[in-house]
Amino acid sequence: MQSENREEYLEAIYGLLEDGKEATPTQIARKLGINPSSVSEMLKKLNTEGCVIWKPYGNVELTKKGFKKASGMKRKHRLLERFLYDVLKIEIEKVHGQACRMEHALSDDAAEALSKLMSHPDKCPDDNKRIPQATEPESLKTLTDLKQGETASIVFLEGGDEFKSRIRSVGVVEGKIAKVVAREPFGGPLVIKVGATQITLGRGMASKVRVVAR
Amino acid sequence: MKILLIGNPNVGKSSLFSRLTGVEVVCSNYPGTTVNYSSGTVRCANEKAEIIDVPGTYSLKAENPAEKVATDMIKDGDVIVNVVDATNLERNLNLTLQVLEYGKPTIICLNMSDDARHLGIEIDKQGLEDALGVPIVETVALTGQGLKELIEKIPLARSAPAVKRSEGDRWKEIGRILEKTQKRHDKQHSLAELLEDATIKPLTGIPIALLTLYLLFTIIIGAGQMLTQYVIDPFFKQLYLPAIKAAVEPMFPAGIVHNLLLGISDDPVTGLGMLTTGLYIPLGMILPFVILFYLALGLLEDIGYLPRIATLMDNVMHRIGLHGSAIIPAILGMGCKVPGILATRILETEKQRFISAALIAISIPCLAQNAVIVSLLMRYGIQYVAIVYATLIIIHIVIGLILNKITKGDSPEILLEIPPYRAPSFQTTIKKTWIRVKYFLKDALPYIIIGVFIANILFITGTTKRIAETAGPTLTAAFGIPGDAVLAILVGFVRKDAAVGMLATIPMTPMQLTIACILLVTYFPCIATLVVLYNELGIKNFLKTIGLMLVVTFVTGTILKILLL
Repeated sequence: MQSENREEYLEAIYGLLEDGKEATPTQIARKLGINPSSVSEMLKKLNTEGCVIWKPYGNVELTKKGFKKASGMKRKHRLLERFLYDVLKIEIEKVHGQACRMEHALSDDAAEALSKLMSHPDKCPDDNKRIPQATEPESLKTLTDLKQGETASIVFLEGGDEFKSRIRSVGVVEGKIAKVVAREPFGGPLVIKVGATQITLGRGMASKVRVVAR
Repeated sequence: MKILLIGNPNVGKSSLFSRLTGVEVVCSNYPGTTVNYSSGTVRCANEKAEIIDVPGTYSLKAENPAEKVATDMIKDGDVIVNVVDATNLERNLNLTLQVLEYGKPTIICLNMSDDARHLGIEIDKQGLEDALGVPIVETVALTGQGLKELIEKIPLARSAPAVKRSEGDRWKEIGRILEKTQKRHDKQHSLAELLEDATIKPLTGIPIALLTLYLLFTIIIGAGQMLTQYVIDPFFKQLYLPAIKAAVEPMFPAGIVHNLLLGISDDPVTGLGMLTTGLYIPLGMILPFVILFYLALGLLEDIGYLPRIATLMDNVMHRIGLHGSAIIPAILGMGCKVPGILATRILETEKQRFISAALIAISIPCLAQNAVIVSLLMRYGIQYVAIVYATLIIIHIVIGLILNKITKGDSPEILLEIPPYRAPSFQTTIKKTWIRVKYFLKDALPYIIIGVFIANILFITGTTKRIAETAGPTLTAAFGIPGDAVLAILVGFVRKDAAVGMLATIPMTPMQLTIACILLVTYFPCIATLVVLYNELGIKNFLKTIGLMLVVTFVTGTILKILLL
């Protein structure tokens, strides 16, 4: 039961980041439909396990490990929704609740088999959201993968804390939408626009910014 | 009372400072113009207050020298004026919240409020005041709008209720504040935005950059020569020379004093008179280029073009251990090496600052050197000028590649904010050019006159000849240039521009002159540059740079002798 609960938390945080929202304890509580006061206990646990970075009264940030778990769980959930709706022809209103309960019991192998069975769908049926790949965050696109003119939302920053805070201070923050204004040739930098700010950043830095294309 | 102007880079602190105090500082449209602080005074509530322009910073974490200066200074400020770019509130408020944590009396100056309105950004000033808990004044530093109100309201600055927040919480708080106080109306693509796109996308940006630089150089060189030929020369030769002769010759018809003041011969370049050559070199040969170069640089700076060049040049610069931002100190160095080397502080690591400063010292010709090259060699043909610059570029790249290999340390990548294009203000550009020209005159004139004086004495006493006879053969053997050039090289140590005259007096073939010009750039910068170099690099890297200079000069001279003579 404990681990199911943990997985629900990670999924909730992932969902918030996916929507470009701040993952605060209050938001997480709202998403899970529980009392905010009970959230901090679990966040502390996830923090010690290295799944999230969270200091009391702060924002919650997924670590690479946490991101991996969260996206894996979301993948199972959405694959199950697809399966319930497409194959078993369950009514759309019911698939979410069903999937929520089934996902924790689904093994990784079974999830892959399920994906293959349905010839690898990429969207879930109820809210048309993206089904994460099994290999995320490594398989997520980075800013460097985007073409000139493409837009994507920033989901995850890799690298050390110093790097993260430096790049955030010029405006590259999770949940924001970035547009690639220019890609300079021969390994040159990328020029991106986040909000009102245009920023030139080197390819190495850009490759640490994981995004989901819009 | 000590008032600190604090804000993100390129939000107009320097413009504001200069408007408030009347102290002349250089302002530009790119981050990092102010690497050192300036201070001035302002009358505020019938009291004289000291006001300080703190280098721009994104955060108060002290990660690079500019940020460190800001964090150190904030502690002794009495009142903080936090300058905020109204067109980019979100990022600016990140610093504001950190500033407020210090609990000092603070007032916020919402600058560029006119630009914000043009961009369709509507800010609820009252709401923002309530949210932050400190007074806010809207200003346009470029035109001076709102500055009177700012001064009047400085005594009303108060400290906000101190809340310490984590980084994530700060962003959250900012989101909350902006949701309540800022509205954005979408505007159509403006001409400026089209230009912004065209000048940064590689396909159009690189040709535009090359064309711009080519045009600038052609215009500066062409117009500079025209100024000399049609304005300064006629004035100097037809009005000034006869007049000064008429004034001096009745008192000193001939002899040492006559020769010292009016020169050995009538030629304004080679005569070596303090009142003839001493004025003709700085005012006739160099000043036109100084004015034109700084006018062009000022325009590029104010429009906001330099960060775009930095972006386009990044991959080239990366190969020599630097990144695109290092192009800005290099361009400044083409005016004068002193501000160029100071500007290397915008780079993040010691390795980058060392490579960048060493390259400026060795292979970037300053204006005086450029003027020498152009005015002495252009008369023999553009191919000689081309040889000089091509050689310097090769030296630049080769030393860069070597230094990058042998220097320990990191070469981080570029992370640079690109400012929006702004129409340059005629007034600020002219004012900035004037500040820089004045600095040149104040600095160059006395040195050149003294240099000419010494050269003249050495010539009259025959010392020139003796030095040339002793050291000359070595010079001729090594680099193939006449022994007489020794003296020019010695004088060039004090001021490069003073060396021009001396170089011009020596009979040389165009190729010999070409080599002499190149060596005059690489062998030693002037004294002022050496002092700054020492201060910025510390003794170890300073000595490395000097050693490198000598090696480069020797190797280049020898190779050129073999290739060209």
